[in-house]
Amino acid sequence: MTDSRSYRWLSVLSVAGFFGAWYVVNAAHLAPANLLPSMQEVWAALLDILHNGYRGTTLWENAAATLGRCLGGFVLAAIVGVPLGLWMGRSPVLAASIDYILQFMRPLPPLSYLILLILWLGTGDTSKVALLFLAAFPTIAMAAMAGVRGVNRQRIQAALACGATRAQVFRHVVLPSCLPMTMTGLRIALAVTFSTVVAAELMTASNGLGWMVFSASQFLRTDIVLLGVLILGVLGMALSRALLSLDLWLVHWRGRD
Amino acid sequence: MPDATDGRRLVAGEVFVSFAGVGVTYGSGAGRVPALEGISLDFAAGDFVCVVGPSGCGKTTLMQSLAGFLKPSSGTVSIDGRPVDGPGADRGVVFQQPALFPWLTVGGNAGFGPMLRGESRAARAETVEQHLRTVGLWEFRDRYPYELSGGMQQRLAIVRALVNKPKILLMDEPFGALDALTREKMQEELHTVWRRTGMTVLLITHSVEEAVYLGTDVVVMSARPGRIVERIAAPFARREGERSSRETKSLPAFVALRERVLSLIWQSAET
Repeated sequence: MTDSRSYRWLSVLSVAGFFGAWYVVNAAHLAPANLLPSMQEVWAALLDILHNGYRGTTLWENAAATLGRCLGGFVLAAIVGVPLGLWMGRSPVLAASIDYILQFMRPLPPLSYLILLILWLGTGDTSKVALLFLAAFPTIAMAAMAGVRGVNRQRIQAALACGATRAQVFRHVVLPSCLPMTMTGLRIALAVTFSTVVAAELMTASNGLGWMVFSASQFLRTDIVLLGVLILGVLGMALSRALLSLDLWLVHWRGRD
Repeated sequence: MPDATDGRRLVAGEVFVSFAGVGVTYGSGAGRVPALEGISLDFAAGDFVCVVGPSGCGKTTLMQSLAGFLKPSSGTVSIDGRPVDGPGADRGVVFQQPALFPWLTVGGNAGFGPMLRGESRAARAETVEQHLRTVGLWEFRDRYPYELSGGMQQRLAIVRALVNKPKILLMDEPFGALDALTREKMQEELHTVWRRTGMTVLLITHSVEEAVYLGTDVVVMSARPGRIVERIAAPFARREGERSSRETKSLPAFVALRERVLSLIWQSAET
């Protein structure tokens, strides 16, 4: 982290290089204009959508819809996944009973069962939040479980020799010990949730950034498609950095212990 | 810290800690490994008992059975007349790795035991300050353990145990991971604490010199299954304090005792 900070200018430069290349390709007419709109066109599309909205929806509405689904599914998965994972770490019986189910679900592409959820729960937000919950929760639960299993035994013994009860060991040693691993699990799960929500909106939705991109693509409005992709990328980056900041603040001992 | 030197003299000679026919076996069935066999060892309050022996002789197992981290397969371990039944704050433990809590500050680590007992922040502040000052860590109270050097971390681990006013301090190779100079300094500090408090100490160590220098008693163990080969009284711990550590360690009597313990370990490792 600290090492890469002195090379931050390089990161900025590469972004500038990307926009530069985009500009050159357009200016030199290296690609058909209807397939690769120019930066100015995308900028104009942004201003247009900010002022007039897109097919009766505002940009904020779409961004809020996407974020709301994403965070709804993620928070639900965290609320269920973290306690379940902690419990699994403590109870080999519980861990064994859910192990295969989690292992089956974790690598499964969520979109493969989206259609089932839509049939069962309808095309509204319920099926999407359920999808995101299922996409995120195995990763979170398994990370929390690994956290419990990886607790340093001597820390537990040191606490016991300070007079800790079993409950106190859990509260004052096991829980904080799990924090680094659990936070890592949450960060991976958030990335999964975000990419899944957009994909789900591409398939079925009446608002959201994914829907906007999909709808624009049907009208061959590549300027709006590109704009949507850029907004999604920046939004995803912001989400993941917010969680990273929380992680660095909470788990201040990460990598130094 | 309360001065318990007189208390130690009063009870000296009475059995304080007792291992009676203790055996520990790991595993089960064909994979059974006897770690300790027929250990009988008594010592008095205020004794500083050092256990040495080749690797795998069960030194750590011996300490863990007194700490209550494991239950012996046979025999009983008791302290102050009561059989050991699980771990407790009356037996302070220090490991080779400091095993501090990195999410707590230095002060939080030092006050961990009192915090568990529900002592208020104000009530534990005084004890914590006193202990941290003794080992020179008071100015680091708001830092985190990972900001301390190895020696300071181990001092903090000792403080975390001492704050609970244990009846005995159990130490498993506590200075093994430190550099030679820090190790000698820590030996001095431990010796000073022991002299001042009259606390009972069980120290597991690989260093024969450390055992002969710090211990009132040196217990030599043999490997697999661990048995006690010999228990030797060492006179250097209760010396009067004008001699330096280096002077003591080069006394002919010291060197002779060190060599005797070493040859016992060699013999036990060969048979």
